[in-house]
Amino acid sequence: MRGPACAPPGPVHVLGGPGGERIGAPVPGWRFTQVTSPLVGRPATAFALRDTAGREHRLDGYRGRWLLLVLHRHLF
Amino acid sequence: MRQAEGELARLGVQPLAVTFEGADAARAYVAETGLPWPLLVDTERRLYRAYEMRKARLRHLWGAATFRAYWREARLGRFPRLPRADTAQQGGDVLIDPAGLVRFHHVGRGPGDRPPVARLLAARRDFPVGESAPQKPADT
Repeated sequence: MRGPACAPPGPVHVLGGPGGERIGAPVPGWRFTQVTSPLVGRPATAFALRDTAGREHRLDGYRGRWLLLVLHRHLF
Repeated sequence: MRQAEGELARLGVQPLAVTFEGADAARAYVAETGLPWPLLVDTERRLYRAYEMRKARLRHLWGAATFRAYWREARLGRFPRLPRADTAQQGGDVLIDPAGLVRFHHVGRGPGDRPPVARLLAARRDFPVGESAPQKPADT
């Protein structure tokens, strides 16, 4: 589901609260174009990836905890 | 993001960084930056695809927001280098609640498009510390 067609260009912001999806409050210097994402409220994608120390991390290993995935662009 | 490390910990949020670059580049990055949380290597970019992070458009790669972002970094003494990897790959942020549901999803359109940490923290603060998000029935 996308935001209104008349929305100005800018980054995507999605906030899923306990009452369901809603529009987040504006943040100075940050514009909004999309008010929701089809992924919010959906199950996260399972993964099993190794870190730089060779340890494997799986999504189900974090069940019961809040997890923030920060997917980088190129590192350097 | 790293300035909010304490607040993320207080809110019980475990950050995991992800890169599409290889393990050698990832280790070099951790060694150089002292990244305080795990850096996962996803060379097949499965998570990137799953979270709709694809190729950035040229105008987003080289738009005014990009130059502003690099200027902010330069003021902190961090200067851009010649990239050795795919510069068009988008990145982003995904906040997942204790039940395994996505609660925040942002795809950065280019280098200058990152959600403020305050916005990420606000998404987490919607739920009291120690309280799990409401369960939703699984898809069938």
